[in-house]
Amino acid sequence: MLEDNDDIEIEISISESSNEEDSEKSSNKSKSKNNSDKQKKDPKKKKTSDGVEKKLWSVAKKYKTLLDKGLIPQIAESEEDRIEVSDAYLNISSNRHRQLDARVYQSLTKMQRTRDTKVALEGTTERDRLRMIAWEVKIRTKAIMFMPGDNTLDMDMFNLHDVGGVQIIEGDNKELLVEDKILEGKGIAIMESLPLRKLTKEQRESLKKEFLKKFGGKQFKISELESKIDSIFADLISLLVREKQIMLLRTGKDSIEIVLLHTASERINELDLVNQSIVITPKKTRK
Amino acid sequence: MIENQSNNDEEQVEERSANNVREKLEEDFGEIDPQLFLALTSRRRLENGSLAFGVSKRHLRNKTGLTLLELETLLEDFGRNVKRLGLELISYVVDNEVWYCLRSIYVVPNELSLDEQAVLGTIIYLIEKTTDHRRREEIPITSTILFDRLVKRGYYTEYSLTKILRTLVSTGYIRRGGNKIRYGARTKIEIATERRKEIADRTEGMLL
Repeated sequence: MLEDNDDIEIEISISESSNEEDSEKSSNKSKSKNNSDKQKKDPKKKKTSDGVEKKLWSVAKKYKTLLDKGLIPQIAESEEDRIEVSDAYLNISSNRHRQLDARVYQSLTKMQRTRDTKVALEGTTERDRLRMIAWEVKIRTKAIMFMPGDNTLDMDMFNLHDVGGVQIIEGDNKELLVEDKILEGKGIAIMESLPLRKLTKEQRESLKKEFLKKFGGKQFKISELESKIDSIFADLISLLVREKQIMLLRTGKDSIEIVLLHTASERINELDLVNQSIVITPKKTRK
Repeated sequence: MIENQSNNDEEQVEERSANNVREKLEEDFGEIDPQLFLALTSRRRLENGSLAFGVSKRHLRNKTGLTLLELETLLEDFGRNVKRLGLELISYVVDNEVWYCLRSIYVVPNELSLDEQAVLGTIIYLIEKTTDHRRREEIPITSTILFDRLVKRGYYTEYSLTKILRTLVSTGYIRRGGNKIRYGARTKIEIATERRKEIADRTEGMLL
């Protein structure tokens, strides 16, 4: 520990020597003036408010320069400066002096903290330093609240509803957008009201199997399908379509066929198909 | 005395108008507070990959059909209610549009990992160091400075830092344009100006 301190002393003296060169004009001049003042002037005169202001200004200026340049003076030097301004408060006469006094003490504290950080960081690993920076961020964050998870669609606000049955809405022969009137007219919400479910891989697979067994390769009337599927199956349809396991084929005016792609891909290749969006949403139960 | 009475009258009028707004909205949409709560705590990813959080004033007005004054009364009222939950209603401006969201009154854990927080702290330090606080003008830093600090000095590999920066952009903490890095709206909301300055002061000298 002592060795560490010695190292720092060496570093500081190096920085001080360069500092002396840099801030010679500003701080040392005033400091030497102060010292000569101390010797020459009567102690009573020294305690005038002018003297106090001068003293405070010189220290404030010195530390501003040092902090701006990232230089750290020796502890002894800082202590000398502190002693020099320690009785300044006795002669403070105006608000300006009070502010100046506060400024000087803030600079002294900041310098001490910078010095402490330097000492404390000796021997720390890179990971430790990163952890310290992260901590400083962590203890100052007043986080924004998020309740629903990440969405890619805008919330259809104020249309919350109970999750009951499922409603199938069809657009024209074009992609359906959230802003489309056909969706708004039905008074439905798309994103926000489905409860979050966390399924394990096994549960997901068994649900998929169950769904494919029940619905795969079969043809349904739209109203019949609406009544048969719940919101979980509606999610599954989306998932299976995305995974290219099934395709929903509109076979008649009111009927939909759930085609298994691995068994019927040849048949689909032969057909002349038009792509159309179908939005499957929870049904809004109106009061 | 007269002043007091007129104040009371104003309060009553305000209360009445707030109640009217609520009644009107409840007729159309059911209970309004839970719905507002959900909307204000939602987030979505925009086409450019950045994060939008809360709800915009324009969107709220379109949906509710309220006048500006009615909306403000409603939100003020809602803001008072959520305070009991330790939350506060915040408004912020992005691309000249006013947005609202809910923020915790207290310091609470955020969703960033240790490395992401460390990089954010370094960015805050670098930006605050270059910013002139008298002008209250934020000066962006270049990626080069950050990479010099963290990659060249061996804290992160180029790949991992790029990955962390990408997460910070996508979560709305920073904005990147060309070679420049700026604060995102989320940093400005979650970490107030004086706290950012504190972070800069505290982290000074921590990196080699």
